[in-house]
Amino acid sequence: MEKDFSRRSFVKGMAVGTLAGYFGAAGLSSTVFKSQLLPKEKVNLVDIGQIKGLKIKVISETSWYDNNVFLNDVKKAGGLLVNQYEIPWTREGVKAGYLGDNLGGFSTYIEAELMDGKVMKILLDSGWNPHWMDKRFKEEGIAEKLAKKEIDFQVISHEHIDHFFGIESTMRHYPDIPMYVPKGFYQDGFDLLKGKSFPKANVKNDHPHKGKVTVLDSKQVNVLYPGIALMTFDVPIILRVFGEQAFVFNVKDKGIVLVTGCCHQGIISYMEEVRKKIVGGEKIYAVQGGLHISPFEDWDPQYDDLIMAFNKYGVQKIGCNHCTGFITAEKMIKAGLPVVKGTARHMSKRDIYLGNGDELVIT
Amino acid sequence: MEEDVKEVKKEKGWGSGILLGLLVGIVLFVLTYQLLLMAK
Repeated sequence: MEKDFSRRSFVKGMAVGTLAGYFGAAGLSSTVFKSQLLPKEKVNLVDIGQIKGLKIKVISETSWYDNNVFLNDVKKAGGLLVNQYEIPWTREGVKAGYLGDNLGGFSTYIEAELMDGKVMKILLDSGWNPHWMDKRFKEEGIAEKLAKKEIDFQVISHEHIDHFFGIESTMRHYPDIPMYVPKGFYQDGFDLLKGKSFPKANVKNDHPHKGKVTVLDSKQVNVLYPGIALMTFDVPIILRVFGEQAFVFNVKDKGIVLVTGCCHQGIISYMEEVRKKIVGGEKIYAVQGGLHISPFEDWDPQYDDLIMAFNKYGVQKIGCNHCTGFITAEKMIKAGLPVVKGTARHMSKRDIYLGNGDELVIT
Repeated sequence: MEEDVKEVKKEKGWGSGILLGLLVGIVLFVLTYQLLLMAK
């Protein structure tokens, strides 16, 4: 028996067996037993606290009035990567525009009632065309609130034209308003805040900002007040913009309410981040603002997947508008998603979603 | 003929080698895995 046994064969077999055993075990552990073997990911959930209720009023969601004119401006300037401060935007002769001006703007007014009863008044973004924004601020009583310094602070969601170039409309009433901007703001943006003009883009600010500007980064959830937080996302955005931030409110007995400007970070990524980082993030009650899906009313089949994915979050109110796109709203409604209807006033074209002057109240 | 038989007989040992090798391989993997975890 001993003589039949080949030491060389045994060694060869052992070499093969060792390799097979090692890599086989590695394969099994990384697939079948992965969840049991890997250490749990350490995530420190942030408890942002709670608020009693929330009132969100759309001041303006109509950023421009004619998509073709807007796109033509961009195309003539060299495309979507051109610096927005260098593009001569069409300001007259547009039939669908406000007094012939193609520019409108985006701005939302928010009242958040803290648990102690204090109401925080917040202005999200400042629109684009100062004439249009002045009119809307006046109509909705924002101008008066700003002049009386009743608004606690302003948040700029991102540096884009339609959210930021109308900063003069805020500054003329309340130049020392505290401001929050996302990390990634370009020097041009800070210069515009301080009163610099950009004649090529036909943008100016004759009322320099004198208050405190806080730059928020994406490293942490930025809790501003109990129940009110901002999340910043490091996203590159067209027209040479970087970074966007959006609100996270936690309303007692309802759940998380997300309020966005344009949501260039992607609505699914935004909701996933909230789930991953915030206590109670698994229950997103409402989403409000631009969802950036089909801003130019085009449609890509991948957007269908996005709408299907939306379903799993169990959102009970979708107060979308602005860059969400009408096609998206139609598809969402068709998919059974609870899109809140608007009233199609103040130059908002359709009532399919929340328009200018419409309100979403969560209490 | 006798040499052929010898050759066949010499091949014995593969099976037990592989079995022992598998065992050694798995133990080696578990050890390196644990070492990596400790190093973290």
